Amino acid sequence: MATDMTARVLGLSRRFGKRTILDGLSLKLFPGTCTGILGENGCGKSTLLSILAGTLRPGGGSFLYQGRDLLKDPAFRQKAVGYVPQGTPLMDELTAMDHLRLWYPGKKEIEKELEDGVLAILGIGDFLKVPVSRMSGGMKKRLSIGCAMASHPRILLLDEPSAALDLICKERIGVYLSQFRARGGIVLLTTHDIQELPLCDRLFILKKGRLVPYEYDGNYHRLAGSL
Amino acid sequence: MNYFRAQLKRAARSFIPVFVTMLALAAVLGTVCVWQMRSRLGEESRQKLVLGLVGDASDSFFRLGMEVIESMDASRYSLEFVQLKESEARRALEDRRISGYLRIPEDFVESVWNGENEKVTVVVGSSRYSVTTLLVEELARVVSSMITESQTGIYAYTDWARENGAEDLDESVLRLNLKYFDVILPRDGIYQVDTPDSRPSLSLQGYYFSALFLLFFLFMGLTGASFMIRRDRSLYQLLSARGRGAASQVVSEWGAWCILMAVFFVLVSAAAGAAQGALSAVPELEGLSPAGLIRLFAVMALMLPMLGSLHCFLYQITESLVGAVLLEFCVYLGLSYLAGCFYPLTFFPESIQRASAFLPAGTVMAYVQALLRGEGAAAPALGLLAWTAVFLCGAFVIRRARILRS
Repeated sequence: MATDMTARVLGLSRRFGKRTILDGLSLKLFPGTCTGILGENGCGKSTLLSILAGTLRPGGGSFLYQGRDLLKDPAFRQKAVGYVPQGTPLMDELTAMDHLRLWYPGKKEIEKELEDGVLAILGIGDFLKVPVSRMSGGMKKRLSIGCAMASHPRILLLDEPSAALDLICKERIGVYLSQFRARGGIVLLTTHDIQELPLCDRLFILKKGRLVPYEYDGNYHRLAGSL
Repeated sequence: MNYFRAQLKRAARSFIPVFVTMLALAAVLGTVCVWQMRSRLGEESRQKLVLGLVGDASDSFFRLGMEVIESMDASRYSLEFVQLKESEARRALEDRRISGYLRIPEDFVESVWNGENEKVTVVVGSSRYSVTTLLVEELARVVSSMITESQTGIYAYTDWARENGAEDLDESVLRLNLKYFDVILPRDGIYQVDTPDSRPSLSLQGYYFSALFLLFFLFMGLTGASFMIRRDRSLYQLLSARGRGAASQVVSEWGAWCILMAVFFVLVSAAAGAAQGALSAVPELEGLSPAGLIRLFAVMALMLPMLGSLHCFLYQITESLVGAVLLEFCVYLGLSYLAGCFYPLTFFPESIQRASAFLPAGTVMAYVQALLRGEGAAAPALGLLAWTAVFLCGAFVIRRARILRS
């Protein structure tokens, strides 16, 4: 049963002009695990997540989950995959509640999640009426994750989730990701932050369009040299 | 809540900042308008205009009148009259060798003596407002005034007759006055203005009414910078991942912006209606009932979707706030200039006049002016719809490229 819930990325490729960004990349994502992708700037980490989230078309390849290719089945992908992009997908004039109402199907679902669901864990109830223009970076990131979880996805894609966040906020997001994995969820994240590495069960370095497995032993200098 | 409703909320929360910016914009436009009117009046004082005379202008009194007008130093205009046949005059008008011509009916002077209401027709080059129209109106007012105020002459005659021993003048003066009222006074409108394309001409006030509405709502785009500029494209990508593609995003944002524009349109129209002097100064709006005015403004609002789509499109082109505002400002200035908002379009070469009718702002001008004249506005309305489609398609293509760009 667990094998059925494994997501597989097979032979994913993408070029920009003459430059190959992803070169037949393959990856298995197991339920209840967090996979981290490392790599230098511009190596294709965000491109990989954008393709898996469906915002960018791949040159070739597939993303299989529960026997369906998510790249060719947008309706199923929208339900199965939650995506938190690197930037801030929020609108300054709107409050946290406005954003939740944009992404969640109804008010009841929001209230339920605020009571004992993902929104409660992320602490979004503390700033429901605050407009985004007055939120801190941490609040924005928590809200972005909360919005991404609106469809109760089983796969969560996070593009540099804790960039420029304070320790308390990182801790809160870390707690939520642990709970999500404990329920069998799949997390795939890209990061530059060594504090996020302990969250990951497996690490890969994206180099020349392919993934190279990496074992982090706490030696930051060795890691930097490997990128 | 869907994305459109989210945009409506954003638009509602942008109302106050947009309102404040619009007030500043109105102040700037008002200043430009006053400056423009003053500079135009200054330019008119240096105008040298040639008018054709068609028909019987041989009468000695008539010739004397023309010579007086030609040599009037105090006039704001330097005038020259040339005698032409009607066909020659038409050709000269087309070639812009003359600014217009006077069509004098057969035995005009005799008819005036006999108290008949023959009219001199003034044919000008275009139905759009121009300095020629202004000149002609002024000349006609002068002539009418000369005739109607000649009553003073009657009293001068009475005084002279009394001083020279005339008796029983009261009855004679009364008869003279009655004859005057019967014969002379109805000739106040002794002229009519005509154009070769037989379209009614637009008054100066009507012209600037359409220009001001265009300028106001064209430049409203500047206030939409914070609403429409977005450097971070992650929201667009996320929406796209959730099945709300570029087309849906653009239409939602454009729709909400148009509704905000419509709110301002209602406010501006209501303010114009409330300040009665403002609308009654436009001859084309005279006699319109409040319901008629509301209908006119409602139909005029068709320009908003096109202008809104232009704003949306331009804000897609650049992601930098300063760059976008500069771009918008330059484009609006250029478009409004070519639409004749600052100088009447008749001042421009023929080729620019023709091109202007197809440009977005020119289409708005043509549309509003057609409505003011009470003509069918179907052609410019189609132009507005076509430009709306073009700008929305452009915005969609750019948005799609931004979503797909890694």
